[in-house]
Amino acid sequence: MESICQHDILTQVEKPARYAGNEWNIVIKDHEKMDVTFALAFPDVYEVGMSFLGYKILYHIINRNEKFYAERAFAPWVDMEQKMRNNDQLLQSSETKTLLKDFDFVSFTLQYEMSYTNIVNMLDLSGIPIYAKDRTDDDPIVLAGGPCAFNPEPVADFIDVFLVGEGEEAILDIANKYKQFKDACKNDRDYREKLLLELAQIPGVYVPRFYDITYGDDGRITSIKPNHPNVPEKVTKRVLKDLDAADYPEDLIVPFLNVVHDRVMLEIQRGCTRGCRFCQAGMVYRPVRERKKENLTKIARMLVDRTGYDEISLTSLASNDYTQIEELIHELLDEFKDDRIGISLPSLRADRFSVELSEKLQQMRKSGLTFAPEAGSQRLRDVINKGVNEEHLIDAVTSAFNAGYKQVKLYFMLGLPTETDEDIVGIAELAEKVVDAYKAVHKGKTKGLRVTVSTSLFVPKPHTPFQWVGQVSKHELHRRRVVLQNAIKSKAITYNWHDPEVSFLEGAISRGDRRLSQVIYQAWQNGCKFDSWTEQFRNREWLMAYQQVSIDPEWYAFRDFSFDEILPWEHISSGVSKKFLALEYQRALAGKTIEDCRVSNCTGCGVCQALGVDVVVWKGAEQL
Amino acid sequence: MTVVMRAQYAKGIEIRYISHLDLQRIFGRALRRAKLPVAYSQGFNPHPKLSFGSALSVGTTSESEFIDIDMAEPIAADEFVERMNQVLPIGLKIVEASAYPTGEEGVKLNTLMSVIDTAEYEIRFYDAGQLTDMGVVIDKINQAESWFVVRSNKKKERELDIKPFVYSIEIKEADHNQLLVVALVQAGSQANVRPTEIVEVLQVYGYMPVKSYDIHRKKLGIMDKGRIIKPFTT
Repeated sequence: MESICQHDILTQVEKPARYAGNEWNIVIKDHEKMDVTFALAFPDVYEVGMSFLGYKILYHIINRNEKFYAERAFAPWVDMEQKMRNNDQLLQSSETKTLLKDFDFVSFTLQYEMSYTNIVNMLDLSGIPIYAKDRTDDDPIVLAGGPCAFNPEPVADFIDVFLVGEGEEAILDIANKYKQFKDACKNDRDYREKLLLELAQIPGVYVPRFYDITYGDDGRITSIKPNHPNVPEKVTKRVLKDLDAADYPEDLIVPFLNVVHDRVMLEIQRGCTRGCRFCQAGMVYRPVRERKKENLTKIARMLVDRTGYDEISLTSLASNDYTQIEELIHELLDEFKDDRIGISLPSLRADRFSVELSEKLQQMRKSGLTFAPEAGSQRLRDVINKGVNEEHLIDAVTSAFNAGYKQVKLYFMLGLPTETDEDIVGIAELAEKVVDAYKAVHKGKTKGLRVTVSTSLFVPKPHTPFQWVGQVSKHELHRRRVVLQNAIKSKAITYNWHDPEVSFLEGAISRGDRRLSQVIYQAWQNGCKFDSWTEQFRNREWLMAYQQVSIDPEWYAFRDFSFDEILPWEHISSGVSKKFLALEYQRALAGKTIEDCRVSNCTGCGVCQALGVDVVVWKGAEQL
Repeated sequence: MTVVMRAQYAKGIEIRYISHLDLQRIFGRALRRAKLPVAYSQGFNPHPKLSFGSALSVGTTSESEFIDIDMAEPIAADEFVERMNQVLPIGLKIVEASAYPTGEEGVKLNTLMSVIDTAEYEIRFYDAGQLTDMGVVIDKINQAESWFVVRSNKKKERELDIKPFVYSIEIKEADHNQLLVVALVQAGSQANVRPTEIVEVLQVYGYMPVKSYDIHRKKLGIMDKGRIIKPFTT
């Protein structure tokens, strides 16, 4: 029974349901009877964590094994943290209110760099030593995975074990190995060290303490070498060969609170090979693997029946690219025609086909349309290999305006490699052409139309063709924003920009090395947490942290890394070869585009050969 | 012919922090999982037609809440209770239900909101061992002519005398270092006394020291000759 003290606390915080648990479909097990326990910790609030499909999938995959138990834990919001600290309370799991420090594993999902201070904070709130080196046999193994594990170095000092790549199979490998080792060597001296070494043998597992990094006088890395003979020189990501054969958890937890993505998320495929050169997800989740349409309909039915949701979102990196997307949508509409189930596509490609598809799903009255051309001129769009051309975009918006839409949002990045003022003016021109398209449909009038142009600062990401490129300076960014602002003439266009301070810090960490762990620690000491929440973001404290530990963030963010330089993530492989990335960068500079290997020839990125996998695309019941 | 299913449900300790708004969504999803023939609203975003008796504040448990659900087809009340209880999250339970045929040939069913007028609350004070004699506290509040409490809405705060809307405040048991105060009050669209206001009265007019407490709604319904009856009669 919940103590009255806890009740006192929960009646005084915002949204107490964040901490209460007991949602539909949660799993309750007895810790005493378990072989291995995981606290799946999400370094952000409940509503954000519960919106990530991968997080939910892992929960169910672990819990399917009778002797393994996964529970959830989230970052307490600042009001709750205050109460916890005042009452000397430690962080507990959502399901059975077990202290995080009493689990075998505490695993963090690394979705975005600006959540790293929350990891430090959660470890502290759990009573677990923040630095991996300070942990003993009594402490849990701190595990981390997710997209940011492709450059694990900035948080390498805090994490015992990283899992690189797709987790479905690897997490069970880790649990099994842990159990075997615990049974056999429980009383060994140096138990923890030996256990970590054992885990480091699993493909896709990276244990930072077994790798030494050396630096030169100029600050650059001179070597990354294993310090133990039994660990691999390079850790290659895990990947599911056959996504269709992988179980899809049907008893997904249904939150009580209104979370960010509060619907059935049906992952129709994994990977995207459109080859946008700035996009990390497009590089690290290769190759494209589609689930079979027939199976998807079955899974969707099961998910709807078990959760009670009234909306299905077809999720993936680019859902319109699913080979049989139209057929799939027809089948789903047919399957659910008597159930009042809405079907939605989360992202829209800028062409008429996508707009028409969206209309078919009657998404139109919900909100305006959003497109992401990313760059203003065709030249720059070719540089980034964003396969959007003006004609298709105008076609798409015309078709939308004809269908009655009045709001269009356009997303762009500033500071992309080779960007000139002409490209920036191109953003304004493209937006003006969207206005013209509206006028053409509405007899020359702009009444009711709202075109929103949003820009964010380009952030170079590891394992992409632009991984070597530095960000533009704040001063230059400001100048470019003014150029764009001045080029916008129509009153129907609104211009917004994303806070560049956050993007700059994100840029520094995203290409950062192990030395940045101290900055993150110091920033946390200075009070930083929830950095991706505008009202919590403390820029001054972050910059102060860099100063306190004598590290220059600009050296990481603004510097062009050279091709012969050892990158901080050199020992982590996504399967895409560095040679391919370099070639792609050269092609970018020359404005040469590259095709999508889902529909065209192999582009030679190397992932299929390196990992023994294949592109999986279905046409009917046949694999193409 | 349409049918309204009127149900009494309990909201236990496991889900006491769920807000009223979230509860509506929980019922909507449970009805889907139960595959019950629910009537949906017209319009672009159809939703099940639910109406509640009285909103329960976050953190309060109850064994007597009421909901009306419009059904598209007739269904036996027993079956409704059984199927719903299989798909409701832990802590939420249908206690009793009754089906009312409505429409032209059916009965006229007044809304829960319009009929419910009384609630009985149990306020449990913890660590109450060193409290001054509660009899004295009760005497003191009874001697006060009026019980002013502060009510605030979006714009302003105002003082309101709730004494006319309180039927009784009693001490029910006093063991385990706990103290149970039972309050019978008006609750509904005419007049509504919040249980936290009873605590305020005990503290302000009875000089009771501040203690931790939780609140349970024991009964909700219609005042009939000095006792509360459930809104199951038409």
